[in-house]
Amino acid sequence: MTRDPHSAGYDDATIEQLVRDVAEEWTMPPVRLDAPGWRARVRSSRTRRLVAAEAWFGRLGQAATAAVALTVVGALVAVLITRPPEPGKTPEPSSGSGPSASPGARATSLPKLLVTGDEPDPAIVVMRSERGDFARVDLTTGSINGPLTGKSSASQLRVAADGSMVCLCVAESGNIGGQPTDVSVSLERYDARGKLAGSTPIEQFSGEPDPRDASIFVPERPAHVLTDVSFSDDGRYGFVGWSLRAHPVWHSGVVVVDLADGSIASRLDLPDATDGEGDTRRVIEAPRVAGMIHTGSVLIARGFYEWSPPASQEPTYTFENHVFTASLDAGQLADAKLVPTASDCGGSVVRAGPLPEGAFWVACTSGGAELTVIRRLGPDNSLLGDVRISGSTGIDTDPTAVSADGSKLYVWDPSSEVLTRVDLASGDKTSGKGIAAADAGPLAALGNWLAPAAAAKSWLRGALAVSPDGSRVYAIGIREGADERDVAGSTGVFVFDATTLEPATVWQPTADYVSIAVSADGKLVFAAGLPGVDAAGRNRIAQQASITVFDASDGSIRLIAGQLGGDALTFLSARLR
Amino acid sequence: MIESERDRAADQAYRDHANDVYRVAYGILRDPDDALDATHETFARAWERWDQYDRQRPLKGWLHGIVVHLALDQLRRRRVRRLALPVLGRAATSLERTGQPDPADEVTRRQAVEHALDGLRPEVRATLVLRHYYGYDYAQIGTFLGISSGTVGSTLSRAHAAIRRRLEADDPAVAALDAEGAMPSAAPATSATAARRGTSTEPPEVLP
Repeated sequence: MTRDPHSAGYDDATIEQLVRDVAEEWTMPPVRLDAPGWRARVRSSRTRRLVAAEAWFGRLGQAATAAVALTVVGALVAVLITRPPEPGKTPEPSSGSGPSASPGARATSLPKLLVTGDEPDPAIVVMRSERGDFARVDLTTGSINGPLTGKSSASQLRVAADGSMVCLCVAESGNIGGQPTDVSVSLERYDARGKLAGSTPIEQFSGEPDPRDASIFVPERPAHVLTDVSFSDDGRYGFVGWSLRAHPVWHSGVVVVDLADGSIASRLDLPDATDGEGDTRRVIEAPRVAGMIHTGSVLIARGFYEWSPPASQEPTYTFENHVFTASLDAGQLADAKLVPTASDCGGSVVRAGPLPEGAFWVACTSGGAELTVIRRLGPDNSLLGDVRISGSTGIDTDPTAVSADGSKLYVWDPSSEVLTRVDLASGDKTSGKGIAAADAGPLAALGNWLAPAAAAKSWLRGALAVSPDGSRVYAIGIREGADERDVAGSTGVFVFDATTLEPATVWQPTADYVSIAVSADGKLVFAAGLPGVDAAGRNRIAQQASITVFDASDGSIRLIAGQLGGDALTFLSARLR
Repeated sequence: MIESERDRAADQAYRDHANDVYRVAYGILRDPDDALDATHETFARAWERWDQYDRQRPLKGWLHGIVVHLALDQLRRRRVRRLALPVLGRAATSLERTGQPDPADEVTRRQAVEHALDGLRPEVRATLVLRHYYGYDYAQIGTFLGISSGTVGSTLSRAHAAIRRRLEADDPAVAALDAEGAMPSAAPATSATAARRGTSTEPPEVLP
């Protein structure tokens, strides 16, 4: 880099070089799940390819005999899969950079169903689909049944131990500026087969557009009314956070719903906030109960963002949070108090929990896995300290999970494969690095399933899960592209000893994993794979969404349901009931 | 061309040129999500129009022509709120560099150029990238943008002047930033949120 020594300014050559330098860094990020790739766009606008693919799937699916034959073949193949390379061992990790299929191997689609041994428990798994609804996957048949509710993506669903489901479902209506003006929340019950068993109206919310901008076009297209639904850990209550614009303020609050009968246990209104002043506009997002911070006390996070000028194509944005504590006793949510010391913890408040002697912690993420801040606060909300954990860029996920006893927080970087454990009481942190991905091993026999691992993806929903006994942490790894042409891919499921943070092993990917969960008894680990791509993340239109079930004891594959449709599926929680 | 051949050709084009398409899209849109969106849209359009591609001409140029049109059109049609992950990333990175002096002046100069580019019209940014990074001649750039070669030249001249002004204006601020150095991690005002603002704002007003 040269600068004209005779001038206070920069010469043209220097500027040209600077432009080249900055443009060099504009490299394509990993592809997001919610931003369909180019093939999906072709497919959506022109159905020809999809029709052709579906015809192929249809022929396969309609032939019962073919399915039987496939299962038989699959069982034979499974012998190869589950046979360890040495007695009693899973494939050993390699010292190489990742799994590699034979050169020129072309990935083929995963089978509709591959089962070894007993059927998994649970055999029915409820998933959230890419479009925001829910679907039941029957792992005994490899089939999918959905959508369940037909409501908006703001809905949340909880599965009971008997397989029945309760949904706090959100329906949107009205449309001003491309955004709904009204939402209605209802409690819907479904039996274990997914049949609607009853519906109870809960509440309606209506927001109004900003009258200051009635005569101008606002490219931001701000929301007028928002909701955020969650459930209490014990499954007794549902929390419906809401916010609505009533210029010049936003009203917001939380409605507590008794899930047993659909009655409203309590309502908590939070302090109003302005919708922006002068040339600034502000959207107050729906508050969310982030966690219990003591017995009888919860932490509520209410995000907001501002932009200015309102009609600009390129406004300046700011993002922050209002954080409150509130009492919660037998469903009675009350006494909200602002916690100013937590408001700037990070872009999103993802979790909160208790510390000894009335203190508490708040976990915030900025840029997904980019930066996690665990802020520890005293009983008087005074700052005890921050633990900061930086991760890889461009990975949209909640990288955190809490240990079963609530004393530790795990933070996972899916790209660098580093797991960090934070002792929440002391703030001490310890890190462990995942071992190199395993060779193809026995799966090499099915090398056509395992496209050569190549690159990275950046959208995970449920990137890590802690075993019920707290002894292990399972985490999904993704691979950064070796160069700018590489596509995204999975590096498999990394298994860590939760005590030592020593990496135990890594289970190689059968698909491009996007979500992971553990069975209630801890014996099985479930990994959901993306449709439209293979394990290496390469576009592959014939590959549908999939679920692979691993035996937690040795990493052998117990089941693959490989043809679950074209919508990406993710688990509702990291613990399957 | 039968469909399978077109598929293979489009796949190869994506592998070879996706990042080049993305770079131009980002230069225009200045948003990673939007740029990625435009990149995918470009290849979808290219697939649909594959028979129109003149194989005597560089494929990258053809794709650049599509993406310039799409990105500018996208700007005209809408602007979507985004989380701006890379922006957060830069904030996080800077916070993690606590106590470390800025390793190179180039970094801060590049940031100044990024800021300067933010202040330019999208067509001007496109001109800069197409000319200085990809080396297209004025006529080709004019074809992409629907303007004359002379306009391309004058656009570049004015863009250089704007960047120059910004670089010179930003020098003192950059120096001040360097001098600030570390921010203690325990200080509540050092959040990524605060850092990513770029400009300071008053604390949110919460009405009673």
